[in-house]
Amino acid sequence: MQTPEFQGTHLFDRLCWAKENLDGVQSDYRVVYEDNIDECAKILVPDPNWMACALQGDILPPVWVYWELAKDEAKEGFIKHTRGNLLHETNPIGPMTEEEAIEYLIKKDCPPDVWQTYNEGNRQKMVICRKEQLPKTREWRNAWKINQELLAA
Amino acid sequence: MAHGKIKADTLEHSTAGSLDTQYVVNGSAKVTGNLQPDGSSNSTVSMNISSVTDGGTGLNTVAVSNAFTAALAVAALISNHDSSYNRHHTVDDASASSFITRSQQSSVGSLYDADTAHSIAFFGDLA
Repeated sequence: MQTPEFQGTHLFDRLCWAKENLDGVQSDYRVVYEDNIDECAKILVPDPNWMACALQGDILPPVWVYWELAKDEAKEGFIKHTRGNLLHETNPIGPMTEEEAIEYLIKKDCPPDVWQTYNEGNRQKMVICRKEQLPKTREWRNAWKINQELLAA
Repeated sequence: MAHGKIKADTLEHSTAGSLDTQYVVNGSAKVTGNLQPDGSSNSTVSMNISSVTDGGTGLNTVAVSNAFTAALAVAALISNHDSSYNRHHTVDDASASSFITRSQQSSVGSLYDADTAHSIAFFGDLA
């Protein structure tokens, strides 16, 4: 199915179109990351409808738009977003592969201090794996950590 | 299938008065989802969600595609999907585009997510 010409269309309206016209795609990829040494590993799961948008193309804005909004929100005295038009008026990006979509999602939804330095220091803070590589049950969930020995192997 | 478009600023009932359609647009849920503790979500329900992070027992972080105007501009509803009567949930608006849900069970006394799933609906103005 061809994506309509969405330049200048409100992002929410584009997402509504996608929900109605695209089948969700449940990715098997999982992003495991540690952003606090005192906490367990976190596992990021792509939303199926978002993944469908990413694969389809011409729906989602470029990821830098989210960085700009995050910068605004981090400013002292921030009250409300005034540059939301970046989401709606920036040209949507074309279709991505599933791997490119995961990379986009990491840059959008993972803390920057994790993905920007994930393999620096003496332990790796982030890894992309498949769902079947995670523990099969949630037993001892709050003790899960990235297995550094497995990464070194 | 082609879709038509109806444009109207006001809806008027023959006897009950009229309503500005802005109330309809602004009053509808901007984020919906049905989440499992492991972060997977139901595509038939999810809307405006980019990812769900499993942050540990009872903790999920919902990241949205179209952010709200501000974190505190969001009214969040959350419900549980099981027969337990003593669960409760909270939503922490961590930012305008990221919301942490916490699932607890009174009889356990802490965060707890065994044998359950939850649904969310967030209302508010989009950025």
